Amino acid sequence: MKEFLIKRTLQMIPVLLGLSILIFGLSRIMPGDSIRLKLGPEATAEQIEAFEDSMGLNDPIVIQYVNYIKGVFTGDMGLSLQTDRNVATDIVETFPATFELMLVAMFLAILIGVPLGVISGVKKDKWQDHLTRVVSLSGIALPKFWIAIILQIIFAYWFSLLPVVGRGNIVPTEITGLRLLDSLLTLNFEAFINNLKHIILPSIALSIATMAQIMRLTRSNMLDELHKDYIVASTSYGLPKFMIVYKYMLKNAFASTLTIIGLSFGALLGNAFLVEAVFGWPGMAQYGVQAVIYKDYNAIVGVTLVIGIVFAVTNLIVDILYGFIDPRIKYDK
Amino acid sequence: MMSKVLLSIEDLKVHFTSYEGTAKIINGVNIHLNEGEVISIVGESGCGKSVTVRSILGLVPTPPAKYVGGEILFENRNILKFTKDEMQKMRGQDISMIFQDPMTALNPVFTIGEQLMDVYMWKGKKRNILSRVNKKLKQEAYSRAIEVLEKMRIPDPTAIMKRYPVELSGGMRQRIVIAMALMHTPKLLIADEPGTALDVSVQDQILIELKRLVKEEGISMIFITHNLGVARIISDRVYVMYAGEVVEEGDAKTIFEESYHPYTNGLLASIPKLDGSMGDGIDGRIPNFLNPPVGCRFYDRCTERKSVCKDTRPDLINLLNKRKVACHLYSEGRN
Ligand SMILES: Nc1ncnc2c1ncn2[C@@H]1O[C@H](COP(=O)(O)OP(=O)(O)OP(=O)(O)O)[C@@H](O)[C@H]1O
Ligand code: SF4
Ligand SMILES: [Mg+2]
Repeated sequence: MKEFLIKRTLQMIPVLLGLSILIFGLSRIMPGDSIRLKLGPEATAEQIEAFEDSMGLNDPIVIQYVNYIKGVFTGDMGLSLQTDRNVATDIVETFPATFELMLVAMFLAILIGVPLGVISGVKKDKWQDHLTRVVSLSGIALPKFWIAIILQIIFAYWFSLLPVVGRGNIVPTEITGLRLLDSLLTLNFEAFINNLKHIILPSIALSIATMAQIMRLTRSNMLDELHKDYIVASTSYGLPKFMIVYKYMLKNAFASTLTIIGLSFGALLGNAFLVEAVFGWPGMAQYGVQAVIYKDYNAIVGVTLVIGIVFAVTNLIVDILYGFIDPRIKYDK
Repeated sequence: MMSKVLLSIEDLKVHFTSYEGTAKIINGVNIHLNEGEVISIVGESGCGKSVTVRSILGLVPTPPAKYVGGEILFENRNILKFTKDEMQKMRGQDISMIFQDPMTALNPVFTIGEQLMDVYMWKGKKRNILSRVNKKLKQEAYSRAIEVLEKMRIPDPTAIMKRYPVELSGGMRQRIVIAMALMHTPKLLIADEPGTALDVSVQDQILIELKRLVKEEGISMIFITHNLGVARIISDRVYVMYAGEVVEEGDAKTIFEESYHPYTNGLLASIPKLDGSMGDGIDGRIPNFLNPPVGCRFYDRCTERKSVCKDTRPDLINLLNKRKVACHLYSEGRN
């Protein structure tokens, strides 16, 4: 287990290096003249040249890359053209918001998607099944921003139950940057409620597609389980139906669902920027999209690297969990 | 000597519906079993052995199956009329089943111990999300599991309890599958071709142990097999099934020495001989269940058929000496 962890962590290094080279190269050959855009129409050619020099943009690309990597290890991820700050500072500020949104969304997706999938699998072709399938199909088919806006209209404008935009105005003492967690750690329940109210709608909007996917997968995995020998056997031993479904079938079914959960965590990041835009959520996804639009070199590279790390780490965690659930998976490979 | 009848399947008829039509699979099967007795059911693949015995435990999914006639009486109560609760109470406690393939009959993601103990603690009970078991029951379950594993001659049971199925050999798993069925010492044990997936020597060993165990514990057993030799060794009486019907029934010792039904004769002739030559198989295949012959279901393949066989179904009649045969070549009480 320990060896497996070390090995997998080491394996992440070449992946991240490759990713960084690729995205670094791409960011430099992207069309568009962001320096001119930044310095304004009055800037002279000398001013632009000077600014480019200061950012090292005129060095050979290999040198630029080496300097960049050196910088990363000292916490310097280069200057952001949008904010005029170290990209690292921007990321530290925006990443927790996005990460918190993703975590809550994933939590909801599993919490609701798995039981719905179980019910619709066990009640195949009954009304429960038809209902959940319609809901999940809509969840996959409907555009995320549309769902987000509908949620806003219903819960924020019509019923005024929840705030329309923003991340909450009572900020707990910062420990992890994840506000729900921080407010619990500091026993600041006022902040917890406040932030919870703000995160509900965006996280629901973000989770729906993933929830629908988890539900469909759980359903089909449960259907597969239904006719497995060991399930018929458990029935023949006189075990309670509830136990057969939620213990003996679900653990097997969930093992295969888990892989998808790792992959959809990456997809959540992709969907996050739409949701962040609609709900004015001050997250990294929005920052990243702005970076692409303005050709903010360092921000593009920085955000992509963070996404890469999140993706790699989630899949590592999923692999570890998989091993706990299914003993047939051995770590020695 | 009159022994008490434990189970009797009377004129059981089971149909399966699919988009192609109705397959009339089980067509009036009669099987009975006395207390303490071991019977075998033999017959070629697809003749309905599994459907018949799985019906006893209510394990055949309805639909596609439909019980169109007959009864299954266990201690004089009709199982086919049981409520879900009655069925769950009976399963594992009164009647339990050993599954054929040890590779698939154990849940791969739970330890052997957990699976055995759950059967002890939860059988016949209700469970919801809040249910807990107390320590005492858990300890009881643990010692019972160890006890049953020991009965199955499994070395080092405490270590085995912590293992997952994937870590064990096929023979070991088959023993554990049997242990699962024996957790509550049922009155009736159904063994649907146990161990056929294993190699012959392991299989023999397990069968010997199984036979010893059921005799020791006074368990009655229905044993399904393709192997006539095994049927002869393990059982007191034998039922021969063909295409969803019982065609011959008799004493294990005599039925293989002198069989009457042309199908049984064919089965016996198809056993490889001691001199190494292959036996003669029976030509043809099991008839189509969607549109079975109206008369004798063996008609198409029978070498001794008569004109009456085509349109009239032969009843299962008593010959002498506890033998029963369903064939127009014979008449009641003769031979
Ligand atoms: N769930 C089901 N749906 C439709 N048909 C079924 C189902 N289960 C069994 N059958 C049919 O019933 C017939 C008898 O099957 P069964 O499994 O009882 O045969 P068997 O005698 O046990 O054969 P084997 O020796 O191969 O195990 C087969 O033709 C099979 O196709
Ligand atoms: S009833 Fe006729 S066809 Fe059927 S087995 Fe006997 S002789 Fe053959
Ligand atoms: Mg079978």
